[in-house]
Amino acid sequence: MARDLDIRVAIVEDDETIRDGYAFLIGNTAGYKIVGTYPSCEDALKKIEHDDPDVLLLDVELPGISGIDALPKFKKLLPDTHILILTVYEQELLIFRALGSGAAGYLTKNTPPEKIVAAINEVMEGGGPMSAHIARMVISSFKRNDSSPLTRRETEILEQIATGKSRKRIADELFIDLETVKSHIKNIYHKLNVHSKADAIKAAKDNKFI
Amino acid sequence: MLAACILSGILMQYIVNSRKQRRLRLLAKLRAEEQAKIRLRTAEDFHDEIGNKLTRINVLTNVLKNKIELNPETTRILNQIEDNTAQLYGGTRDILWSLKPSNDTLYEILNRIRDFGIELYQDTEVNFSLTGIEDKWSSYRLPMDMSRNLLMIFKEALNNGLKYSGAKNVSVVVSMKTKGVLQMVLKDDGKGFERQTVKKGNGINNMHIRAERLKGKLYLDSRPGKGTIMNLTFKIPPNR
Repeated sequence: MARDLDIRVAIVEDDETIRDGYAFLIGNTAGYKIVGTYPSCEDALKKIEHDDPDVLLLDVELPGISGIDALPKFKKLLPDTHILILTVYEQELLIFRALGSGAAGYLTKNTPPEKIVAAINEVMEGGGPMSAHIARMVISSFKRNDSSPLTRRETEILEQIATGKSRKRIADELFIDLETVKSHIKNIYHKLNVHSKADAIKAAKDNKFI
Repeated sequence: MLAACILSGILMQYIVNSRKQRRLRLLAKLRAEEQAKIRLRTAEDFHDEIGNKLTRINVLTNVLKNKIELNPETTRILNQIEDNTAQLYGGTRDILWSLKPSNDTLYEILNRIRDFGIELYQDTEVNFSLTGIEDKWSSYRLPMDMSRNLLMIFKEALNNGLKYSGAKNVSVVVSMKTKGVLQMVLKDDGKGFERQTVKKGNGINNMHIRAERLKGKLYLDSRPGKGTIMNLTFKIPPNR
């Protein structure tokens, strides 16, 4: 079967209004195609391999199996799919755990559709959305463990993101390509993946969440 | 001999009594903590519900934009719906944030204000910075209403700056003066405004009211063409 050039997007979201709304808005945008929508992880895991999405929008506040717990299962079924998690409010711990389990980025649900589409694009190009707030969290997480797996350059970029500068501005100021900045961020995510499982547990204990 | 017995009797009575009092106090404390937890969980549940419904309204508004004939009038109304839901969303987000017990420190609230500013000016050409936060302030507890008033003052001030000033640079400098007084100076290099002619809209009045609630002092200085300076000082309550 010939693969057309549209980006294939799948959605897992339990709220019908939101799920159908997103499907309409994204599907209606040129260059994007909705290949599957599911109200739960259980349903999605049964059929999503056949959908073969490029990007999966995954609600992590689902009843039943939570998006976070299902993440590794999705990664196994769809190793090349980029997973963006959706939350209503930015919950640090949740996002951290998701990033550590292989999510490529996160979005809050009140994000306007143009920005959702932009985030999908970004993640297809290898970068992931990372807010200044999350960058700050990552920095303090590495500090908490007294050792950082990041290179000097990666640390520098992370700190610049934490002050709120745009990626383009960071690239200009450091005299490097925007592509290079994006690739550094990708590496940071990857190292975060490896690093943050243990830290998420420690952070939870420190904050008395568990 | 009799006196000694009576004395030891009284002493034992006293010991038994004070142990009972201690136990009662502990029980009362545990009960209060339990109730606080329930209240917090209820608030969180409710805010999740609000967040979910707000998202629905948001999504539906966007779908509507795609389905109807858009003219300046309909666009304006739809944008107003979006603005209002966005503000509501931001408001509930703030309340949820302030309900988390670990966020009741000076360090956290200042970083919250900083994050707000960063997010606000994110996709603009404006340079925003908030400097002067010290790590050790994470041991300075602030009562919840103080945090809220402080956040609202700066949300108002920064939003106004974005809407009206046309500034290229917006900076907030925080410093602790002697005797536990915190000073926060907001400066922008925008076009300033004429104090007398600016409609005394809710914004500036609100800021003064909130500064009063903080038992602090708020000075606003602006001249057309000379930018704007806001100076807020207030006393940090001593740690319990």
